[in-house]
Amino acid sequence: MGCQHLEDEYELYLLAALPAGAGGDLELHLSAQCPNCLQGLREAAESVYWLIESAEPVKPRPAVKSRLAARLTERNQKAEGRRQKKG
Amino acid sequence: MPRRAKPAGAGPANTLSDLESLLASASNGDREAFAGIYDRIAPRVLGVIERILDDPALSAQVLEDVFAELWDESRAVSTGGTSVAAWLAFRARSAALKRLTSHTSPSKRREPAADLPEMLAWLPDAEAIRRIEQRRPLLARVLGQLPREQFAALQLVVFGGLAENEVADRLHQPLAKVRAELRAAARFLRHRRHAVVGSWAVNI
Repeated sequence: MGCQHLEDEYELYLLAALPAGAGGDLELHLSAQCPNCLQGLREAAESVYWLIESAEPVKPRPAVKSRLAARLTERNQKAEGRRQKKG
Repeated sequence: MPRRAKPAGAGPANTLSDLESLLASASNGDREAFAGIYDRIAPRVLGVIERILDDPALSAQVLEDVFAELWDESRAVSTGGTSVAAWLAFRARSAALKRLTSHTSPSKRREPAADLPEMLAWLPDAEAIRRIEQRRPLLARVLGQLPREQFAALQLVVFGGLAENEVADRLHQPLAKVRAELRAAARFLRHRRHAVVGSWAVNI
């Protein structure tokens, strides 16, 4: 598949910056498992990661971790309850 | 106005080096291992979310949601061989943008497949992220080298969640010009990433 014309679209596709009506050709390549485009997308994802990670870190308040822990406990208890019902 | 990236905003690369082994343990129910992931990387994840939402209380909620999702998906993410940091970065951006646009009608755009099996086809692996993290200060400088117009357009895409036609509207610029600037920015970053993370000797 000829993919050179798509090379500049990989990052924008991953960032959902291509409006409807654009990017259709890339999707065709991806749905056909085009190895060039999949490789291009993988490499573009590294650039996109680097862009996203340019945000300055912000330390969360301790309460967030406590709430998360309580939420996971609740999920585990529900899952355990479902398992016991099945058993 | 979007903020310029500051150089060297994060800790050493080895902060993230054992995230994948911690996730492997977490996927077997090890809550301490999961807490270890949170302690190492939550500030970065919250940084992304808060940059997008600019609302500390809402951002904390989204942070909690993203980590709860990681717990639920831990087995699939762990066995998929992807970088935990990359999964969190992409998921955090996506979740924050979803909250940002939840009160407005979402614009029609091409979205990459967000299902985990589809994401695993393109998400970077831990080794790729390790290479990026080792060169983080240099990469931050590269962002500062982008022409002002390209940088502004890119920030609206990355942290504003705008499609290129929306960027053109926001900046009162012709769509063709914005499209060209965004593609030029993507090319520049790709080239510099290869230079900085790859094996070329480069002077930035």
